[in-house]
Amino acid sequence: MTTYAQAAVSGVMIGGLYAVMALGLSLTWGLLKVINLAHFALILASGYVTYQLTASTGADPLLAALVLVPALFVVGVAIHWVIERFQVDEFNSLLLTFGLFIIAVRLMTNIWSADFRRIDAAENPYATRALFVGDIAFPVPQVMAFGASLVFAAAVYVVLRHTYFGKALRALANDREIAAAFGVNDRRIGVLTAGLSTAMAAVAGVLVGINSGLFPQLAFEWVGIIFTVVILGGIGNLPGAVGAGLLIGAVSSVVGVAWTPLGSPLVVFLLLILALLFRPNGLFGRLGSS
Amino acid sequence: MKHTQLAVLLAIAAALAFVPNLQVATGFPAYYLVFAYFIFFWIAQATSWNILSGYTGYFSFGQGAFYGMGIYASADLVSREGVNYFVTIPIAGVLAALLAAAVGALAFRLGSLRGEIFALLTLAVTFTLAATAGLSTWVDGGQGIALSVPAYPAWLGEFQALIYRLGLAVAALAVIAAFLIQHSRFGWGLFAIRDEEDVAEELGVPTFRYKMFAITISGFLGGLSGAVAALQIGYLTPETVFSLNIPLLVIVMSVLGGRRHWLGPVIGALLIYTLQEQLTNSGLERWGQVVLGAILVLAILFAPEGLHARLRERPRRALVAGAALVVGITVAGVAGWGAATDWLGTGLAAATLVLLVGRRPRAERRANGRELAASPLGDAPAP
Repeated sequence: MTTYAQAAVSGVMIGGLYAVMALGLSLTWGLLKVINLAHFALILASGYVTYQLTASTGADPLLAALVLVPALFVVGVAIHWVIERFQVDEFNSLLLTFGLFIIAVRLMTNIWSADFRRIDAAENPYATRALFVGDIAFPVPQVMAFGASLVFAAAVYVVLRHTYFGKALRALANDREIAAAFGVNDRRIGVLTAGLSTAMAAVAGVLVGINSGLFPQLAFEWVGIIFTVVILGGIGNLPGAVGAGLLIGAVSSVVGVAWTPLGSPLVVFLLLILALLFRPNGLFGRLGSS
Repeated sequence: MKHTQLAVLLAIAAALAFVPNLQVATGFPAYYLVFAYFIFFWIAQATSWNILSGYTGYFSFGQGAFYGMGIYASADLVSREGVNYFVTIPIAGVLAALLAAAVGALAFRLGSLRGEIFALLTLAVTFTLAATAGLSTWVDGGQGIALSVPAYPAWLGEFQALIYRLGLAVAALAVIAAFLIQHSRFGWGLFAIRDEEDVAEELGVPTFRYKMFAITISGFLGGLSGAVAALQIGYLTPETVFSLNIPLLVIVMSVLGGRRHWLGPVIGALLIYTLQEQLTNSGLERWGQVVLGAILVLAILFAPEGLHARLRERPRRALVAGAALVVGITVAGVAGWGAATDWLGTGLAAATLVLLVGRRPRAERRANGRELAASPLGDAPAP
């Protein structure tokens, strides 16, 4: 029984990481109608940069976020600018970012090789620590990811409900034309959203760097899991994405223990197929649908 | 017109079938037969993709699923059940067609499945197949699976010649199918679905049936081509079979060549595979995917309608591109740069560059802008 409880707990914790990875993707998809496949490559790149900074300076891995968050904000704005400038539609944005994704992953393979890389335990003060509640262990890196997801969910909720930016965002997601006609500056909100989404990829990347080893193929493995989280959570629905992330994390972890580790991707992808077919608006509804 | 073109196509395919005899007679390196096989393989896969995604506009990331179904159906039947390899080729096609029909039946029955949701569904199906292949001991079981060369009549020649002719047969079948579909009532129906599905339905196009036909034909061709690839590759693992390489390449090829014409994927496959082979030969395979990705990005930004449409719209530029191709090949040939793919690649690259350089004509862009501004809904999704 403890085995299953432990599996469920660490699944939920890892699910927090999935949630953080899914947030930016969900936001650009819901609001800007851009499915940014490059998001996965940006997360991986942030992970590698965290690894590299820690390896070459010996600094705390969390400090990498100070560099990465503003840098990736700029990257997101740049991608957004290109998409707007060339009037790329929703389909073609998928292809465009697929191209960027492939380029980025290959470049990372050329730089850091296809081998497994991991932040050295001596420089990663979080990796080996764990908190215990009874018999159940809570590894610190996973707790950090989980905490980050909750903080983001709460922050997003407050921003969406109580700030001008949040209200404008919801109005635009609901009906871009009407909102723009009522004076919402859709261009500025769009740029900000694109930048914030990729900035969240930076946070996710730092957490990935602290949590696990890195290899280029990882970016492809995330695609299925993270899309499942985005779809189940409801496209553009960020608190929904957090809920779905925790759920998917728990399910895949328990399946991995109860059946076989090879079985968890199968179950997750079957869930994705079912979600796409029967709940394309997710378990909790889309952004702007309420 | 249609019959002349069809006759020309058949004549080309028939003539190409004798190239291995020529190889025996003149003794040019058998490497070119293998090179040609890969061109045929990619023509078949890209055309299979295009019949579904280019013609109907239902964008698929799932080409790897049809290909993988074909490859494993053939490899498993041969190595686990001892079935004759040549018998497994049509079986692989039919199994892949059944898979495609199942995906189609699920996806097209549910009206809520919009474009990008369909794209993700096809991706999820591919991932699910890959996970199943890794789990099932009959399919793969994590061991990988090897396929030996079957016995075949001696008049078919060397192994390379056999592979070449099988690849050619599937590619010819795919291209002719795409040609016939485009020039039929069925094809017009598919184009109507791509342009405005609801209107097409109103006007009496049996959209569900047509989409089902399109995806099933696409699956069948992808599966056939996969079965031939199983023999060519010889050793299979789920990671290589279901990698994103297949969807990536067929998409790049079709987008670059043009999605609205049967010739588009053929042009794209020829260009992209030659380019890739060029890079590998120059020891730059590390950069192959970077170049492919860059081509995809540039094509989407500067020529989203594809090269084929560009050729038709701008005959003068097409002429210049053709001239560049001829000059490139001649210069390279005179300079004596060795391998045949070298000058072919150089010429093709030069011609593509001529076609890609330059923006859309100004008048066309202005018209687009006005249209967007005037439309009350703009680019908002249809209600």
